[in-house]
Amino acid sequence: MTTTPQAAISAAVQLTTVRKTYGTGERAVTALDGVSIGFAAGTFTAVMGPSGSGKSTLLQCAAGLDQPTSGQIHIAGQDIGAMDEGRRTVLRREHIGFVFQAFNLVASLTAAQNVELPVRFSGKRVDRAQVRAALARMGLAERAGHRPSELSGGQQQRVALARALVTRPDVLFADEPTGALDTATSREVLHLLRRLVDQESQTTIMVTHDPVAASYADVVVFLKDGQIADRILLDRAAPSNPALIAAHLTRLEN
Amino acid sequence: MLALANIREHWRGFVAAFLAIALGAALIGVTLIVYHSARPQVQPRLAGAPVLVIPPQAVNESGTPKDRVPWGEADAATLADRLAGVDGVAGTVVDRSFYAQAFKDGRPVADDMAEDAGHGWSSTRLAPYALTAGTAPTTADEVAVDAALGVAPGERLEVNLATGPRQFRVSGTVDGPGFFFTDAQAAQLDPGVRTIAVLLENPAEAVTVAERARGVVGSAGAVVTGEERAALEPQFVAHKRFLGTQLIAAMAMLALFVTVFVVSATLALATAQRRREIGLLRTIGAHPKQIRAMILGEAAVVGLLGAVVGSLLAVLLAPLMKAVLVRLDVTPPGFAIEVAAWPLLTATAIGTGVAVVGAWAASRMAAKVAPVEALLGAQVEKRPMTRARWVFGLLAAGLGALLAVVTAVTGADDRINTALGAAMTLIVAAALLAPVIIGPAVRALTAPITRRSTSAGPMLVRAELLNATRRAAATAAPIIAAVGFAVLISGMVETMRTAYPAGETKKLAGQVLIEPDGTPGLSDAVVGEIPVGKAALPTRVFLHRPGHGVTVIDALGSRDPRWDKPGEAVLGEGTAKLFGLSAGQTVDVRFVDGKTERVRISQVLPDDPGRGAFVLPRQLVRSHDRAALTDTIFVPQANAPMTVAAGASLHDAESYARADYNTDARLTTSLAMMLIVVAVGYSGLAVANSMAMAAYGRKADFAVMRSAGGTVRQLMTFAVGETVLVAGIGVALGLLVTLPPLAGMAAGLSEVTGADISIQLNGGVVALAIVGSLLTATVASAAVTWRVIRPRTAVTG
Ligand SMILES: Nc1ncnc2c1ncn2[C@@H]1O[C@H](COP(=O)(O)OP(=O)(O)O)[C@@H](O)[C@H]1O
Ligand SMILES: [Mg+2]
Repeated sequence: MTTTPQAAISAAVQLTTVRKTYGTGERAVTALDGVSIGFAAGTFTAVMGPSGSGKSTLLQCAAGLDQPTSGQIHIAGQDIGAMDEGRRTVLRREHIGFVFQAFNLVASLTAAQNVELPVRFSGKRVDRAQVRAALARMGLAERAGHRPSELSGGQQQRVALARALVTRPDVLFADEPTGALDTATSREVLHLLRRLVDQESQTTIMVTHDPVAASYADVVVFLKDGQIADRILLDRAAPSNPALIAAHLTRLEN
Repeated sequence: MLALANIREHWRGFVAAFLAIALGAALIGVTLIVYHSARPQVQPRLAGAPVLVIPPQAVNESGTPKDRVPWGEADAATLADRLAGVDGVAGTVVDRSFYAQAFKDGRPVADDMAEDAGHGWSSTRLAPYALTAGTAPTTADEVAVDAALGVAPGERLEVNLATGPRQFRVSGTVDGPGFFFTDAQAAQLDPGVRTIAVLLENPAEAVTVAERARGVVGSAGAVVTGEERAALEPQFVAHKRFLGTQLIAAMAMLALFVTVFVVSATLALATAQRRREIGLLRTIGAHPKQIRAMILGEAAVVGLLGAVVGSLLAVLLAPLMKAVLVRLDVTPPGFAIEVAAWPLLTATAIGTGVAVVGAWAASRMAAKVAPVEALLGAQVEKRPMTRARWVFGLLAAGLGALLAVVTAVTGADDRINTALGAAMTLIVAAALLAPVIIGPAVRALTAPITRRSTSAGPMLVRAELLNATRRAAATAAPIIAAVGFAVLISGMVETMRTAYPAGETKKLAGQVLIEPDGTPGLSDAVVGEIPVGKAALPTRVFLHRPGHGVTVIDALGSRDPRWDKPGEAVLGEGTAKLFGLSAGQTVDVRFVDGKTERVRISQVLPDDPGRGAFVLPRQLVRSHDRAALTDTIFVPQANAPMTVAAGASLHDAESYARADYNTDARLTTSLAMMLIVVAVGYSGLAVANSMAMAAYGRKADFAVMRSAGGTVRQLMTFAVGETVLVAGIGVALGLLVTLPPLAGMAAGLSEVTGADISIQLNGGVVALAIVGSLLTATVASAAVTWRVIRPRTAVTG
């Protein structure tokens, strides 16, 4: 597969031969081994793979949270490797939302304050209506004044989603967002993600190890030993997507 | 918003910082309140003289304005005449103050102000004091005295002057302290003039008349009014203030240092425990600068709260401090606490500033937290040492070593301060470099146990400490400070206690000493009775120093046949160099009577405090400083007199050395005790806080260990074991850092005293500091661990 530079820039996020190595010498671990992949705007991609295959590393590099050892990453057409940490922060702030498995919220702040936080960091005026709308969209209008300790796991995760989306980012990254939730709550969160893609063309990239969760995506990318092993497009109308994905996964692990 | 919310959420991490700042601000506030309350006051005897003219100031060796250069008799008279012609002036008084003290039944009447108690009769107009009986003195044999002295007009009174006791007839009594001779007699006893008072036709015109007077005086002096007249305070008042100020300034300095130290150690620990949360903020768009601002903002808020509380505390503590200082006799007479706004505002500002400074390192550390740290399962430290830590640690260690060496060679006045400075920098160095030491120390100490033991505890302790050496270092830091200061300060006092008397006794061996007894100095009458031995007459002389102008230095009038040569002076090398003089040259010396003499420098000799830096013939000094008193007479044993005159007493070398040291020691010991209490009190607080924080930070780990089958007892053993290990390392480092400054001090004292002085430790204080630190740390850690793991104790143990 070859990607022209034009294609690289047109994708919301483009990774080119990204390699990431942790540690040095004998203890060096190659988490990503020359990954090139583009995530098209308006699509929902699920990243799957066995534990330790490099999924989280891929996401962190793609979101500009971590620096690859080599290779290029373009976000919104800009090469983030060429930026210093300050400029990367600004870029992330403007273009990226991030949700992960747990510890998503600042314990000392209320739900509404947590959602305001990115706006405050960017030095803009906080629009209360916008914050309220973001929470309402996640079905949390009633919970604005609650602290994280007063919210259930699913509610916390939805606050985190509201916060990730309040700045209207180009790309939403989620690392096992349902990993700590029960089945019913997982469903709610996944439905929300899907609706965002369908109604607002929210580019979304989600790491998961759950075939059911992955079945909400448009594209599933399989990682193995830090390399892209497979990539399938899902037929949104097909009911058997989870089984299809599970089968792929099993094949990969053997 | 975030900073405030964080303080609410993480209050545990801020408790020690808050308390330390409150205490620091309180101590600084007390210091400033005392300083303000003890500021020079207008002497009561000048209360009725709204405008004073005083001579220009000379500078001292280091260039700071110091003594005023007295006018000569003729100059003063001319100036007074010209001032009398100024519009609105009712009259002028040439004011003099010199030594005069009543003797009753051959014993001196105690009087703090004796050195400045003698005046001319005109000076009574300055208060003004009125006659309560009798008349003003009219002849040289008459004196008017304070009615409180209990001597009636017409009675005879023995008054001791610099020349010795003389009989006077009391002409009258006045309603204020002092001995008032005829003006002519006063001019005879002390020709130099330090004040000309301008009396006004209309007291309300002080400012305008002062302005006119300035035109007349020009560069010949300064015209002062109102509070400025406090510049004329007696010597002994200035000296007492100096002692008291020194005492509390040392305490404030230490408080400042310990506050910064405690705040930075506890905030560093708090920040280390918040890495994940900070990483989270970074993932949602916080710029490193914003993180930094957040940490500094938190510190500023906590600092401000602490500082405000501290300032209020200062108001409550000030009377206590006053009681202490009064007991030590280091306060000016009539000293009363006066609470003004500026000391409190300054203390608040300093407290807040100190908090921000203390948070500096923590904020840098926080700004470096990477966003991915929010995603890591456990909080991990990357490296035990950062580059900045190495650089600052080694710099501090180097500076501390340097100061330790300086301690050895510096003069007595600076020795304590330098040793304290050395200890402070070495404590900082030890705290910064501790991670380097903690790794190997933990490995070495736990190796024998982990190899043999099969239980989880030792393995856990070892793994925890090796993985989080920086956190362990932050926990150990306050212990280093507590033990370091307690051991150092008590060691210094102990070492000096043996050194000084030993050295003095050795130096004075074979001599007897004649000391003032009830008088501020020895008169010529006492000196004259003992013709053999050193009896230097101290005075202040004014010399021109190229590039610096008129400079005042101490000079001695010596009767030692080696130096006592008419028209000649002997200089110490330091002084000769300062003034660019060499043997054979002549130099103009201005004396306190306003007269100038040209003397020839006969020799320049190595500096020797025993001889003096500027030695003149005794007779020359006496003729120009008629009010000077001799401090001590040193007489060879063979020539020892059987008895001495009134106002003096006889000592052998040892009792003199001990008595001389004891007056000093009283101050030093109280200073030391206060410093130890401050340093240890604070650090103890930080020790308890960091241990508690460390235990709280473990909450999650404990839960995991519990679910992995750890019993409460096992976990408690683990927590206490770890604490004891860390605290033990802190104690060892604390002891280690005291050695260089103490060794430096001992070396310096050996040099000065010529006796062989080794480091002396105060066993009690050392033991108390060690046991106290270990106990505080263990109790705090055990209590918090217990609270954290207790809720699930229903499980089988
Ligand atoms: N901070 C790190 N330091 C060292 N090795 C790491 C680190 N993060 C991840 N790894 C290693 O990189 C590999 C990929 O990890 P990760 O991306 O977390 O995988 P996944 O999310 O697919 O389970 C694993 O072998 C993991 O051990
Ligand atoms: Mg992962």
